[in-house]
Amino acid sequence: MLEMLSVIDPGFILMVLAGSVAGLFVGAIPGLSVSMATALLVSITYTWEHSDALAMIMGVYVVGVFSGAVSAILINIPGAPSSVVTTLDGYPMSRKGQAYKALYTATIYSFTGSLFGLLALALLATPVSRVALKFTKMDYFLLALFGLATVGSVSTKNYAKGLISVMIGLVISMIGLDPLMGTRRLTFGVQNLTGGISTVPALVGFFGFAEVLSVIYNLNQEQNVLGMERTRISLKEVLKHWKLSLYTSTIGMLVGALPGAGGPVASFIAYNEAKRLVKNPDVPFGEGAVEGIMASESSNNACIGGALIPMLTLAVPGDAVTAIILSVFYVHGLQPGPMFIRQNPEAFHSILAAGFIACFALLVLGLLVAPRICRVITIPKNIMIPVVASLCVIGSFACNNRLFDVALMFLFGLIGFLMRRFDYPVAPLILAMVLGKMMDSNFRQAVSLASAADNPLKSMFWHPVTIILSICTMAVLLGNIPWTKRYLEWALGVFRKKQ
Amino acid sequence: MKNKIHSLIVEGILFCGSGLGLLSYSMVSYGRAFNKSWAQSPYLFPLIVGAAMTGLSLWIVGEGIQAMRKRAGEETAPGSLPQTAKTRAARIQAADGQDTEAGTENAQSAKNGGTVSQILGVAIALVLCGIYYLALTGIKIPYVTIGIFSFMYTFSTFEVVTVPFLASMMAFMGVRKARVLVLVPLGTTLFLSIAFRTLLHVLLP
Repeated sequence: MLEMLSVIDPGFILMVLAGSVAGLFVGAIPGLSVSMATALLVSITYTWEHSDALAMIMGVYVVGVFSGAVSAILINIPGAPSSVVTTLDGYPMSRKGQAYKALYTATIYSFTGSLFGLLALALLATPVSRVALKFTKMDYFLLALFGLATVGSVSTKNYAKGLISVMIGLVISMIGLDPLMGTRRLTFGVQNLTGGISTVPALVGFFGFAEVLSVIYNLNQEQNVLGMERTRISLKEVLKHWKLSLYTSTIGMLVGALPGAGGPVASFIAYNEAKRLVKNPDVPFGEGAVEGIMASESSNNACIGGALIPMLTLAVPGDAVTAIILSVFYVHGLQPGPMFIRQNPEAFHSILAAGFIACFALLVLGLLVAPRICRVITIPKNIMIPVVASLCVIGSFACNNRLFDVALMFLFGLIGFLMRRFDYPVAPLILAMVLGKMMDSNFRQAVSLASAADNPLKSMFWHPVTIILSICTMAVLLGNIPWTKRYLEWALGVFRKKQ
Repeated sequence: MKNKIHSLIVEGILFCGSGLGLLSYSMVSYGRAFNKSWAQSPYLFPLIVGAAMTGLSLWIVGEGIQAMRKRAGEETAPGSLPQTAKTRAARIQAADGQDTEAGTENAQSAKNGGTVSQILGVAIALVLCGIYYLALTGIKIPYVTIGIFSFMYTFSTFEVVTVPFLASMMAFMGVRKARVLVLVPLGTTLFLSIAFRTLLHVLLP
């Protein structure tokens, strides 16, 4: 772990700090999101050294996930999806004049959660890589499928809609030359599509421009900023929940490591667990309980380290932001996977070092700057949104320097907006888009290899990891289909009655 | 009472068409290809995705039909009150239990009577963005570099086109102060241009 000190120099620290400051504002301003900022950064940083690019992106990621809590507490609008749960207790605290205490708690536990997640990443990435070396082609396909099946189930109440999003993402990933034979697919004679759809315009469109259209659609919604009085809060009082925070951080890290899940799911689970475990809170949950903010913030920040584990060791991103970070790796010619840490130790150490520096930046910014930015986060939307629209144009143009990508960005933005309107989640689409080529090539290689064997099915599925992954994937799929779910519940009922 | 088609059915039919389209595309392309082994065919994966999409779309259609039946059952139930547009929207949502955020938005929009104006707003924004895009592709302005002491500032199509775009978007979104409409687009474009083109060396249109 100490090897990461070798990548740290003043320029590196400056990059992390710049990213952290950007993350604080991006995360706190409703309408701007961490996913959008990282997507824009991909196009800006592609000419940079990969360590500098990763430093800035980690700064944005770590602090951006935290700062979603700032607007959640002050204006009851979560700056990031993972801060939705923070609004439940954060805003009631603000209404009682305890905004500073809520922010203080959010900062401290976001810091501990992030540290916990990054420590887990540092300790677990190498063992997971060793296990991943034993993966077959089919295992990679099944792992990605498991991730997509999971994200489809957790990102929306209607599982079919989640899976439809996955399918759209897979279709987009198939456009262009096929990864094994170089045959043109789904290009319909459009020359610009031969190289496939670049990830950056798609990301900028789905996250950035779709957000612009959504804000225009809901332009009349009012937001009220509550005043903040600085009060003395003892660290001892805030840290009295440290044991519970370790538990909720573990939940966050594990949920983050699950391909496809992410901060919003982690914070919901952690919040429910905190509710279950804390029988007699000083203030009831939902009315300003400090434990609620603690659970939500520690878990969603612990997700960061957790989500990076499958991304670095298996090239399967844990959430939308890590999917974007994965594209940063590809842009810089780095190939995450089981051999990544062995072949690119400096890149791995850059991520860890940037993450840890960003944690401390989070602490400083959260305690000193966050309480003072209430005015900034309420920049009039009618000024901010046009600027974001032109940023989207810059971001989508910069990756390939062609205006065709700008047109694609507008198109994806419109699709993303319609998907939001009709409750189709965007995160599964992005994950499917990023994973699609990998799934396609691994699946076809597995099928090709198996077709030469005496027993193709046995050759494909008769491995311990493959069996486990197949069972997990089937369980997720069957457990979410209403008919099978009803049948399983009925069968369980019969079984219990017999007992 | 007239039974309106549930939106899930329309969505399902749309995706069913896409799935079948992908299936037929894969089959036709496979038929035309030289390599006749499915195991190695580049159209195997699209075929599977197409089949899965068709299956999922049927699932969505099924849910739509179920929601419609539920709604019809509620409407014909004894003691049911005559429905206004508002209660009907709320019932549809309660019946299917699926449309969460979008559904809430819909209900709110219906409540405020603002859906048409909201959609119109998005359409106008898209038109403005379309004009912006056409201007970026159509207008060719050579690079102009201005030297201010040792600082060199270069501008081109992007800067010239972005200022009116920002001003028109702001005006459309309700900014009425002339000073803001002039200074903010100019300042923002200058900032973006210096930050991206000059400092970060990012190519701009």
